[in-house]
Amino acid sequence: MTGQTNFDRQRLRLPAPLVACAFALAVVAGQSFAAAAIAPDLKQEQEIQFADLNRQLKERAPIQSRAAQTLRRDALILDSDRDPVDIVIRRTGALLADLKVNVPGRRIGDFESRLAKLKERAEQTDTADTAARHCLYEDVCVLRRQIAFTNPLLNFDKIVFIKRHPSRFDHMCDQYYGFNAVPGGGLFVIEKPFSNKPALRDLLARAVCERGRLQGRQLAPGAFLAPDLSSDGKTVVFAYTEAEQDPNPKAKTHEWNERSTFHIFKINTDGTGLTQLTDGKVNDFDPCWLPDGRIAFISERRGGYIRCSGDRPVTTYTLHRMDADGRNIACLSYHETNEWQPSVNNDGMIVYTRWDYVDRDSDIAHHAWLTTPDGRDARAFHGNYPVDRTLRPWMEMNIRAIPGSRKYVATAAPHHGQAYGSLVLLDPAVEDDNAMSQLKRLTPEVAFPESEKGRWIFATAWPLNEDYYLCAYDPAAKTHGLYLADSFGNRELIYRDPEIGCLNPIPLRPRSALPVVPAPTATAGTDAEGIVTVVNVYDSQKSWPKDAKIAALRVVQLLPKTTWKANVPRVGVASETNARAVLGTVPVESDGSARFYAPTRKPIYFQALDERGMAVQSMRSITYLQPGESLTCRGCHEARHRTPPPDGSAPLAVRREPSRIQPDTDGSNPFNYPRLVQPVLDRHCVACHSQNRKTPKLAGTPSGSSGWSQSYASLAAKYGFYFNVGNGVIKDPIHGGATSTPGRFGARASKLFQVLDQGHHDVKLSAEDMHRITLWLDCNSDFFGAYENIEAQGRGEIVKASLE
Amino acid sequence: MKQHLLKLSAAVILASTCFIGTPTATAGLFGSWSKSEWLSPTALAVTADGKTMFIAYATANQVAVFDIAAGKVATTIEMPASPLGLALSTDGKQLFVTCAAPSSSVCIVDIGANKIAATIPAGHTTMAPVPSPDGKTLFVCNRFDNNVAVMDLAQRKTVNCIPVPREPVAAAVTPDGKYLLVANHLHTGRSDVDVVAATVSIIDVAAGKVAKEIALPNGSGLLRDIRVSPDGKFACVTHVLARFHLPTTQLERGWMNTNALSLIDLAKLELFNTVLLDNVDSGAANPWAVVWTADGKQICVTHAGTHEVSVIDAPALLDKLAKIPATLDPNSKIDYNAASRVAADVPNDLSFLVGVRNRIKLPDNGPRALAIVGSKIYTANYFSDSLDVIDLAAPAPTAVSIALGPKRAMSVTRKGEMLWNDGTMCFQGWQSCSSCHSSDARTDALNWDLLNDGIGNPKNSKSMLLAHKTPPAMSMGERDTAETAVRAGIKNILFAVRPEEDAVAIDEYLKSLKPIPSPSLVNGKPSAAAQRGKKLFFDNTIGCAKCHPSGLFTTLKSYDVGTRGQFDKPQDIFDTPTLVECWRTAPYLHDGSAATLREVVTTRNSQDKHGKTQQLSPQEIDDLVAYLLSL
Repeated sequence: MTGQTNFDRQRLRLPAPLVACAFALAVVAGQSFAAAAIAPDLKQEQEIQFADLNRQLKERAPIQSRAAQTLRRDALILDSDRDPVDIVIRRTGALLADLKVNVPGRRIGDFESRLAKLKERAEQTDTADTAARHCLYEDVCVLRRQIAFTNPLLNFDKIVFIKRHPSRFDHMCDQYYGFNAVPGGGLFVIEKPFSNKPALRDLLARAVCERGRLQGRQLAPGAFLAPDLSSDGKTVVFAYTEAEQDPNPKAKTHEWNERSTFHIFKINTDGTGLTQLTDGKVNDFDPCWLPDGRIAFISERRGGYIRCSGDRPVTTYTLHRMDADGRNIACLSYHETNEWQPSVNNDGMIVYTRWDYVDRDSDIAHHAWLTTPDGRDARAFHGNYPVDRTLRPWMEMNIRAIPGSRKYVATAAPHHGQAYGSLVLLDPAVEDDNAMSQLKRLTPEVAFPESEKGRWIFATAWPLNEDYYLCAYDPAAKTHGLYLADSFGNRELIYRDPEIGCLNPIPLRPRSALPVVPAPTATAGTDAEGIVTVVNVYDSQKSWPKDAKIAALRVVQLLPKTTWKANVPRVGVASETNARAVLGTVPVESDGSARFYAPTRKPIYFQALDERGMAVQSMRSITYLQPGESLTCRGCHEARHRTPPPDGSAPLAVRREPSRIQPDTDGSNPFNYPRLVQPVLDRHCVACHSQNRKTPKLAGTPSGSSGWSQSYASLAAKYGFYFNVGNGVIKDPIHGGATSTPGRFGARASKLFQVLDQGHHDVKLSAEDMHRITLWLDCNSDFFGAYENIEAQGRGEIVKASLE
Repeated sequence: MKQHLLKLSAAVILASTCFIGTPTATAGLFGSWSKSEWLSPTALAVTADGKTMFIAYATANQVAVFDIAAGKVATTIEMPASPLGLALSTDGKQLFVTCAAPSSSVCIVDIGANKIAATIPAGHTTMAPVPSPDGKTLFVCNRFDNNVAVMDLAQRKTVNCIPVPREPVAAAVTPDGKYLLVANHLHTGRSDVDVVAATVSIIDVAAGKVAKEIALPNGSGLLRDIRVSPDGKFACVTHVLARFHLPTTQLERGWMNTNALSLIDLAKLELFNTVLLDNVDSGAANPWAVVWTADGKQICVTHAGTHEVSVIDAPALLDKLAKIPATLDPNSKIDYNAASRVAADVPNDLSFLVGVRNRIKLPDNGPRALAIVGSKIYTANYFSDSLDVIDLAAPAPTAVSIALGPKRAMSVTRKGEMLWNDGTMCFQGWQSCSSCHSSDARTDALNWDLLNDGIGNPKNSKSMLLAHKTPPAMSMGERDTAETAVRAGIKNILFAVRPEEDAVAIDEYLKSLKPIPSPSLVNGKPSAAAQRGKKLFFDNTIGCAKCHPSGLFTTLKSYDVGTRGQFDKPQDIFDTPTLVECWRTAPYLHDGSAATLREVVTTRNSQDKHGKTQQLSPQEIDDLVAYLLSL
C-alpha cells in the first residue's frame, strides 16, 4: 500500500533564523509579537523557474498532447517556444491581455510598451547567446511580477496559511493521522504580500490554549493542517496534533490517543482566543465554516476501517458537524470509506471528496461530491468510474467553488500519495463522459499523479476567479511555497520557507456570506424515519432488457468494515468485499414508481428486482438518509443532466402511503450463507453430490482457512456472481468493470442460476428455496454477514454487525 | 359546447369594448401599474438608424427618448396610461405605444416631434403592438379580452378582433406578413389532467382568424415574448416549463420549474423543439425578452429572475437540434451519458446549450426588455430603473449600467414586488414566487403537489389578491395566514433562508394588490346579464352569498361543498376562496378540475351542495356566471 515517496524527507528543524529575527524585532519594537520582514529571494526563484521551463521544453510532446484538455493554450509549450525567454514573454503577454480586459485603462499602457520593448530585444537576440537570453529572461520576470501584482482581484493585503512538513506516510488516508505528522510549522499571516515589503506574523507566537487538556500551553511542538477562515474574516479554525509517534521508527502505525491524533482548534486572527474545539482518541481535521455559523469537519468518530489495507490499520473518516464552540458533534455522512476537505460552494452546499469503491476498483474513484449542510442528498458531480483508468485523474482533492462562477478548482491528487498534484477546473454544467468532459487542466505541465505518474507539484488552490488562484507550488515537489498562479502558465512567488513547506493560502478578509440552505422542519436530531421516493425505476442511463418488468426494490444495508486487515475475515469469494445485510423488499408500481420508509443513518443501496425476485440491476455505491429525510430520485441511475420528463400524471407510489420494507427470509439479515443457502443444498443436492465423487462437494462442513464451508468453496468462485474489490479490478470484464449493465447482474447472470434454471437432473426447488439461492447470488455471493465471530457465523449462528 | 357559447357571448361583449372603449387616464385604478415615482422600464424600440431608443416607463406613464450615442435620456413623452408595449412603424416615422388600462389606447407618436399624433381606442390591457410588414395594419394584444385587435392604420380603428385562447401578451409577424404568432400567457382548460400546456396561436392574417394552435410541451406556461428570425424560418418563444406532476420535494436538477425557449418551425408551422435555459446546477428563472440579432446569428434572451442575458449561437443551436434523431437508431452506438439521444429528450436536457450559449450577468435587477443596436445589447431593468449595455463584439463582454433616473430608495412595497420576482433568492436560481404566481402575483393556473397538506394531492395555484385579507391560506387552510404562507414559501419552495424584513416586504407588496376591473364590464359597469345574475347570487334560496358574502366574497370558513377531487385524500372540507377577480383565475375549485365557472355551478354541483343551482334555467346559469365574471 505504500506509494512512491515523492517528498524529500526534511529533518525536523525549527525555523531558527525566523524566530531569531522575529524576537529581535519584537525587542526592538517593544511589541508583544510582531511581523518579521520577509523578502522572497527573487533571483533564486527565477533560477528555479528557469530550470523548470527548460524541463517543460524537454517535455514538450507530452505537454502538447494535453492541449485539448487544457483550459488556456498559453499554459502549454507551443511550437514557437524555443527557450524560456519565448515562453515567459508569451505567457506574460497573455496575462497582460487578460488584465487589460478585466481592468480597462488601469496602468496597463506602461506595461504594454515595456513588454513590447522586451519582445523586440528578444527578437534581436539569438537563442545561442545564452547569457543575453538569460538577462532577457530575468528582465521579463521582473516585469511580469509587477504586472501580476496589479491584478484587481488581489484586493486583500493579508494571507493566512499554514506551514507543514509532508506527512511521513504517502497515502491519501494515512497522511492525515496525527502520528504520521512531522512536528513543525504553524499558523501564519503574511502582511502586504504583494508589496516589496511583505512581513510574516506567527499567529500562535504567544497564544496559549484557553481551555481543555492543553489549557495554558502553546501549540508547540506539533503539526498543523487545513485552516479555514470565517466569512467575517475574524476567526480561523484549523487542525493541530502533538504528533506523538510510535517509539519504533519503522512502525507504520501507532496507537490512537489524544497526543497522536489531530484535533480542531480555533483562534482569532489577532492572535487571541485560542480554543480547542475537539479532543479524544480520534483524528478530527479539515474544519470548514458553514454559512449558519457551525463547522463541518472530517472525523473518525463514526468508526470503521478501509477494506484494502494489508499491513496496517487504516481508519475511515467522514463528514461531521459541530457548533462553533465544539458542542453537538453530529455525524453527517454515514458512508463506509473516507471523505476529505469539505468546503462550501456558492449555493451554500458542502462540496467534498468521497472515496467510493463498493464492489469496485479501489483506487480510482475519489471525486467531487455534494451534500446539504445537514448531510442530506449526497450526490456525485460526475460518474465515479471511467471506463479506462488512464482517462482521468483518480482523485479530486481541495475542491473549491470559484467566486462569481459555477465552476470549481481542485487538485488532481494520488491515491498512494499525499494531496499534491496538478490543478484542474471542474465544470458541472457539462455532461460527464466518464472521462475528462467536465475537467480542464489548469497546469498542463504537470501530469496527473498516479494515473499519469505526475509529480506532486501543486496543492490547495484558493481561486480568485476562473483564471487566477493562490496555491502551494514547488516545481521540485519538495518544499512548497505560496504562489499567485494563473491559467496562462505564470507562477509568481509570494513566500517560501526553505526549511518547511507552506499550504492553504487564504486571503485574510471578510467575504460576503454564502446562502443558508434550510433544513427541513422538525426532524433533525430525532429518530424520525426517512422516506425514499423513486419516480420511475425505468428512467435509467442504460437500457433495461426487453420485457424487463421491475416488481420490487431490494434494500440492502452495507456494513462498514470493523476489522482493519484486508480480507480478514474473508467475507466471501470476492476480494475485499463488504459484509452486508438484506433489509427486505418494497413494491414498485406499474409505472415504475416506488415510495417507502427507509432506515436512517446507515449506508444502504438498492437493487431493482424482476417478478421472480432476482436483481436486474444493482447499485454499486451507497446512499444514506438523515432522520426525517425525504430522498427523491428520478430513476435508477438516471442521466445526471436530465430533468424529470413532464409526462402524464403523478407517480402512482406518491398517491398512497409509503411502503414498509418487507424483511426477507432467515439468513438474509444478518446475512449468513450457512443459514441462507446450506439448508437448500442439504435438502436438494447433498444426497446426490455426496454419492458421486465427480461432482462438486456441497456439504456444509467447514473447509479451508477462511472459515467457509465445503459447498461455498465449491460453488462461489466458479458458479457465483461477484465483483472483486481491489486495485485494477476495473480491467476485469467479468468480476470488475466500471458499471453494471441491467440484466447482466447477480443471479440472472450467474452460472449457478443457469444450471438450475435449465433443469439439473431431477432437482425441483421450491420457490422459497430458489429464492434463497438467488438472493445469495445477488449479494455478491458473500459468505459472512459480519466481520467478527466468524466461527460462530460458520456454524450458522446469528451474529450482528458491531457497526452499522 | 357550453364553454364555446360562453366564450362567444363574452367575445361579443368584449368585441364591443374593443371597438367603442375610450381611453381614460387610469392612474391609481390599476393595481401595480398605478403611476408612481418609479419608472419601471418595460419595453424598448430602436429607430432604424440606431440613434434613438424609446423606453416605455410602465409605472411613470411615460415613454423616454434615449439618445444612444450620448448615452442618456433626451426627453420624455407623457402617456395617458401605462405604456406596456412599443413598436416602430414600418416606415420608421412613427412609434406605436400601447397604453394599458381597462379601456386601453394605442398612441401613435410622431418621431422627431416626440408628440402623440393620434390615439386609437383599444381593449383591456393592450400590449404588444406589431405593425404589418406592408405598414397598413397594426396588430395589438388585448390581454384580458383574450383577443388580438387588427387595427387599420389609415382609418385608425380596429377592424377585426381575433379571439385567442388566453391572455395574449406578445406577438410577432412573419416577414412576408402572412402569419401573426401570438403568445398566450396561460393555458386553458382543466389543470387536473395529464397534459396542461399553453399554446402559441398562429393567426392567418389574410383570413383574419387563428389557423392553428401550437401546443408547447406539457407544463409550459407564463409565456412572455415571441420573435421571428430575420429569415422568417423560425420563431422563438420564452416560457416556464413546469414539472407540475411531481411533489415539490426539491429543486435540484430542474425538479420543479425549468425555464425554456421553444422554437417553432415556420415552414411547417410546428414546434421544432424546446431547449432549457437552465444549467444542471443553475436555474435561469423567469425567461422574458427574446430578440434575434439582425444577421440571425444570435438569439438573446433575458432571465428576468436571475438578472442575466443568454446569448445563444443560433446557427449552432439549430444545427445541433437538426442533428438529433427523432428515434434511436438501434445500430448506432449509444452514448450512455448523453442527456439527449433523441429529439424528445431535448426539453429535459439541462446541458443542451453548453457550448452554444454564453450567460452574462447583469449588474441590475429585472431585465424585461432587450434591444440590439449594432453589436450592443441593451436591457431594460424593471426594478433598477436603468439600462444595461453589453458590447458583444468586446473580447470579454460585460454589462455596464446606465441609470435612467435618480437613484431612489425603494419603498417596502416596491422592494416586495422586486423580491417577488427575484429568482436569486431561490436556491440555485430555479424560480421566483412569480414562477407559479406570475409577475403580478396571480396564478400560473397549474396544479402543484405541495407537501404542506400531504403528498399526492395537487392543488391549483391560487392568486395572491386579497390573500392577506382572507385567512387561512391554501385551499385546505394549511397556513393560518398569508403571512405564514409567504414565509413557508420562502423556505419550502425557494429553499432559502431570508431575513424577516424580506418576508415583510413581500407581505406589503401582496397587500397592495388591487383588483383589475373585469373585462366583462360595459363602460365600467356590470352588464345586464351580470346584474340579473347578481340577484340570483344574493338570492337566499340559492345561497351563494351565505359563504361568499359581498365585500371579500368569502366568510373565511371551510365547508364541504361536494368538491372532493380524484386525487384528494379522504377530505371534503375546503377553504372558501374569494371570488374577486375570478374572471382571470380559471380553472376553478381547489384542484382546477372545473375549466369554467359554468361547470362549477352545473356539472360539478349535481348534489346542490355548492349552492342550490340545479334548478336554475340555462339563462339563469348564464346570468349567474356573468355576474361572477364581472367581479
